[in-house]
Amino acid sequence: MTADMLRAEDLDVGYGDTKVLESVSLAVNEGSFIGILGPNGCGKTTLLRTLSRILRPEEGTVSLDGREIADYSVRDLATRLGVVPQETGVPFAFTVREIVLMGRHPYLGPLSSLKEEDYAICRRAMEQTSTVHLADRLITEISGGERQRVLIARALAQQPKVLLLDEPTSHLDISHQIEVLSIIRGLTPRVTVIGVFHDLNLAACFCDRIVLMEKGRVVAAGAPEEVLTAGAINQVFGVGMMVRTHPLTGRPYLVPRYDAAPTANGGGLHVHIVCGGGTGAETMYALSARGYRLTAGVLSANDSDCTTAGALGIEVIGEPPFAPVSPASSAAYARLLDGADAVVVTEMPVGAGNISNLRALTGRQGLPIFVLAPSGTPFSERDYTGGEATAIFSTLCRDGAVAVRSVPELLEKLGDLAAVGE
Amino acid sequence: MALMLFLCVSVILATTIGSSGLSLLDLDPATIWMLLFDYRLPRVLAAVLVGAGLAAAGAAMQGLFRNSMADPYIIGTSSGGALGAAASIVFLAGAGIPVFAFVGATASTIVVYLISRRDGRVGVETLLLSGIAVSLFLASLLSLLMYIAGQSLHQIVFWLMGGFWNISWDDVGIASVILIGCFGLFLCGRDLNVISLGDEDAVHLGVDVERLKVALLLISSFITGIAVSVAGAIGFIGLITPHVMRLIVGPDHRVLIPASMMAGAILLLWADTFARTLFPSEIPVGIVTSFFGAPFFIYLLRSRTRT
Repeated sequence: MTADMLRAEDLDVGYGDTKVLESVSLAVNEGSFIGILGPNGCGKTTLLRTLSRILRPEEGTVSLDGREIADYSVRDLATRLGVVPQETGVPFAFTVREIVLMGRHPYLGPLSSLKEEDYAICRRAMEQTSTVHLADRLITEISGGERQRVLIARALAQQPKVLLLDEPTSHLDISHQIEVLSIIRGLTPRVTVIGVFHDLNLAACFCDRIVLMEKGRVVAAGAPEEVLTAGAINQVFGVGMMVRTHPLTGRPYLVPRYDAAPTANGGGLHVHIVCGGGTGAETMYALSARGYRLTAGVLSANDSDCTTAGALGIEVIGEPPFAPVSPASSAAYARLLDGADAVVVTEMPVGAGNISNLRALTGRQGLPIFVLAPSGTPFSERDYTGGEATAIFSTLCRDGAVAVRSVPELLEKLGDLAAVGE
Repeated sequence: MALMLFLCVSVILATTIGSSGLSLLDLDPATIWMLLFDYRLPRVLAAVLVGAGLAAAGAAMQGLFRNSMADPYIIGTSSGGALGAAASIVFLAGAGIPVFAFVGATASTIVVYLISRRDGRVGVETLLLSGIAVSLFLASLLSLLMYIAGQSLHQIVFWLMGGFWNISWDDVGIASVILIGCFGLFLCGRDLNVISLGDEDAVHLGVDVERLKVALLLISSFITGIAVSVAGAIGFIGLITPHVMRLIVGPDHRVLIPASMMAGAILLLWADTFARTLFPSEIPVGIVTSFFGAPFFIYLLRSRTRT
């Protein structure tokens, strides 16, 4: 097996008595882009420093291009392995060109001077990283994003086979993060790249493989969609995530759930939410955080509110996409309304598919109904039923439904109701 | 090149400027020859060599410590040298001062290095701090020696101020070894550029950092040790010259070190020329360099362009 450009076997690394890495193994195919992820202090940077021979492992070996790195001379290693540090504090005012030319250092003796070839290599490295226009600027006077690109150019000038990057994007804004990662992505497959990242989504988008670390160990390694599962992220980071497929890249992307433990028990109140088209998400999240017993529906299964309800663990009456509300669903809906202590109608558009949800609300004496209308759009503008929905809304309001302008106001009104109930 | 030319002109001018109060034209050729060749020229050359050495060592230390406030004495050289010289004055009535100064200077550097060494590595910050600690310790010993020196206190104080009295051709011979050291530093120029970005960056760029540190410290303490033994601890040349030259020629050590050598030589030569001609009786050159150096340095700090 020589297809591995970089290989780490059973690495144990420690600072003094504290073990930072425990039997970490890693195999990196030539030409691939590997992202190392993990929480702070899990040993990502230590792993990188071990791979670049800054740290010597207590146990285990690292081999590069089929040879143990311990066998390379400092100079030889630098011609095969380039490292882009997180941030370099350069104390002296070197120009960007001078910094990039330093990438040729491992190829030069103390007395030899730079040849035309060296200049050409550096020029190419600067073209690849769009830093040519910075050549005469001082490294101390350019922005963080520019400096990061210059450091990548310097590493490229070493003409390495493997490039290690320590959180190359952590100090950058989102546009520079994407720019820098696109540059790095473009280096493969000529260069094998291993990077430590904090941003799960950027790593998922750009890396071929992900190595997930926790407490000095590798807990998962593989393609982004194999490694970045909600379960694994919850185990390693302790954060609830929803994993979706990015609509454009097809890569996984992760969104935090922002789960909060209920701050109140909601007085045992059962609230039914009539929503649709994404208008119910904020309400459902807020009410579930307050501990109300929630139900929702009837909703089409491909409605994003249905997804939200499912993710929040809210009982939903669902219909298959584009199907009309079935008699069974209507009956289930009626049963929920019979048992509900309050109903919230969100600012949803009403059409043939969901008008029955409104019809069922009329004539229910004693059921408090809250009509949420944050934007204040007249009913008629989201009425696609030719006036029936508007008419029902008028009836509901005449019969005592309460118009609510915002979710916090809704929480307040429901709070009053819960207090009365107790 | 301009610096080189200016240095040559300075050497000639400084040789002809004297404090004897006599016009050269009044003297017979033999006396002129003796005066110029036996007294002034060695002194001029020693000042040139010492100035060049201190400036080159200063440039190297500033690069190694990544700090333009570093100077060649930062690793304990001057206090070690001073202690050695004072010991010689107090205990041996001043015999072998240069030898003692050289040994003191280099020994203190080695001690500082060994204190800072851990697991085969030397942290730059540790080096800096142990340099300060060792210097303070040696300074206390020096104070003790001065306290018990009695009659010879005057001699110690004079030595500490630094100067080029009684420079002979032998001293010039010793001082010329400085040039070898400077060449060594020049060879490290490219490595110095890289290490000034940081130890780890330097390793990644193929520099054997620990070996380079040993080389730089050894060469610098060697140069400084010789400079101290020839002329005492002359301040500010090693601090200001590289700093100024970095503003002018940029931070590339392959240019900076030679440029600093020229500039250091010119500066110290003129400082010494002033020291021996400005007043009726000669004053220690260390006073001149500090008197002009410190305000100039403050001026630089407040008007930096390329730092």
